[in-house]
Amino acid sequence: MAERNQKINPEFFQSDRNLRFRLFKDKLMFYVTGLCLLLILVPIFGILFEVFINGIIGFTPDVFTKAGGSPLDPNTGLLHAMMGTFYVSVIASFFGIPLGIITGIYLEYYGKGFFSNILRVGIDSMVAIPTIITGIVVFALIVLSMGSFSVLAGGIALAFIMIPIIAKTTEEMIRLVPQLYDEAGYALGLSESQTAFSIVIPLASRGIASGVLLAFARIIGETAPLLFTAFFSQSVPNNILDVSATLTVLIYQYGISPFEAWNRLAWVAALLLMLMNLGVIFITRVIFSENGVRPWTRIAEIIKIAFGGVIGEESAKEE
Amino acid sequence: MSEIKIDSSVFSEKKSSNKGNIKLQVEDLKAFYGKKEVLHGISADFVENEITAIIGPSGCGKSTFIRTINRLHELTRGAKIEGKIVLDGYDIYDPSANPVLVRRKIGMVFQKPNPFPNMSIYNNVVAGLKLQGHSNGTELDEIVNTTLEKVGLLEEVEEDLHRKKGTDLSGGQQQRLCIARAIAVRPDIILMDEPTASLDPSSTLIIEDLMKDLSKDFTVIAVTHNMQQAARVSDKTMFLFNGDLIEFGATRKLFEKPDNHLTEQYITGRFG
Repeated sequence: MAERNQKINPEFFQSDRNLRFRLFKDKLMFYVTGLCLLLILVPIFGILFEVFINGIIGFTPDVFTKAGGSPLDPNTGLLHAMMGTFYVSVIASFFGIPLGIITGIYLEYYGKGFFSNILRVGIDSMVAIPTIITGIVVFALIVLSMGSFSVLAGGIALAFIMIPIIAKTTEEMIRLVPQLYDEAGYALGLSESQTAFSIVIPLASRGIASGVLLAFARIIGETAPLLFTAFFSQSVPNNILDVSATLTVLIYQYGISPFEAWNRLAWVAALLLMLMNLGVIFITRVIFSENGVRPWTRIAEIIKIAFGGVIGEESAKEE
Repeated sequence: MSEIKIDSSVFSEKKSSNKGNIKLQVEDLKAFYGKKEVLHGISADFVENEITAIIGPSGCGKSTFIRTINRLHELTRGAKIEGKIVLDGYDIYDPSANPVLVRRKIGMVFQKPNPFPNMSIYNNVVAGLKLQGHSNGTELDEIVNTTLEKVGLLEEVEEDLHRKKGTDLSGGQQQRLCIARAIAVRPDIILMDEPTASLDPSSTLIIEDLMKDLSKDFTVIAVTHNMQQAARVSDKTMFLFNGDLIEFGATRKLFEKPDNHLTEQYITGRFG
């Protein structure tokens, strides 16, 4: 007790060299990581800013109402490319979303044998295959056999990009549902399929939905597979067997052209595309934050699956 | 779906006339995870409308044992059993027995309250019935009322039946909701795997009272870590150690004059 009542030596709070060094390291790391953050933010906002300004400059109401045409005609717009992007993404979603989700459910619930492991390896490598290869395969299979470029072929190429992303996220999201809900279902006398479809998959539905949205965000920005499939034209497609421009391919075609009017429209298309992407990602964020359960971990997980490599790993580390 | 019978009069008529009947017989039960044997031949009879507490140190096989009774054990990969478990004269491990139907007769409450987070309180209670194909609204309403009344939750949540989710309740309320969910499908036996392990003392006492009350209508088998709890609520106590049944008998006798010195050492706190 006597020791406790002793007055504290005033130096106690100042003299620990080891502690001071650690505090110094702490400060140092704070500034170093902050600097890295700035280094990353500058180019990101630089890109957003540049696209935004140039897009706004070229913007006219004609953009939404007029199709393409001669670069010397001042009354041209992006309607054809917007319709093309709309068609290919609807077709891709029509095939890609149900097939992706069903594949994911299959892998999680029945994916135990040899065949399933092959499927899993296949899906993993499909995520990593450069999309231009998907494009050329669809070109060989569909465009050549049908004899023309078409919106349909473009949609199918994009569906091939969607399926593995959605299948992977679906599988992961179902797996993230804690085992205790499965067991609660079984203990109530429900069969495995009832437990899966009435309890577990609904619990994973937000995660699955955002996997779908991110896959969608990913395909509306794809260019390479569309070069071989939907190709390019200056008029609005009449049906899904027509060749058509899309926003991404239009950015490429107009961007490298020597005509100033086309360059301007390319910037507008870039702005539209960027806004669509941000919109989808924003919706995904909203879906998650409502759930309240570790949104960042899951988003990082999905981003990692969807975009592979660097970005995903960075944000996973932040967590 | 023909096997669903709901009788919503239910809880009033006591089955006390059945007291003394053997409800469940376990014969030489061995349980395995892969090649590892975790239960070494357990035999025991469980009497209708009694509460049996299963005690023993961590890892002794309490949970495995209780999970073999409603065939949850076999869902773990590589897990299997040998031996017999006979419910009302019928071997639930008979090849012709459907585990899904077995589990309708033998309900379970888990250690961690696990109401379905995407369902309202009402739907949590009738989840089992609804998904088994029962859809008569007025009957379901009545079952929700009687079961919630039974677990003492009705007054607390009456206003919020449809408005709140099962997971909006406190831990103790959630566990009572899970008990309501389990009894709503009218099983014969209710298994409880440490039902109060994650609850505070006052919620624990409520659940213990509820267990006594439930034993009027059901046969209750509960795993517990807490020896005072076993002594407070159970009629019989089973002591497991390293996968062996060491002692099984009337709770009072087991706690006051155990036959086996291992039991004595355990209940006096010398190990475990």
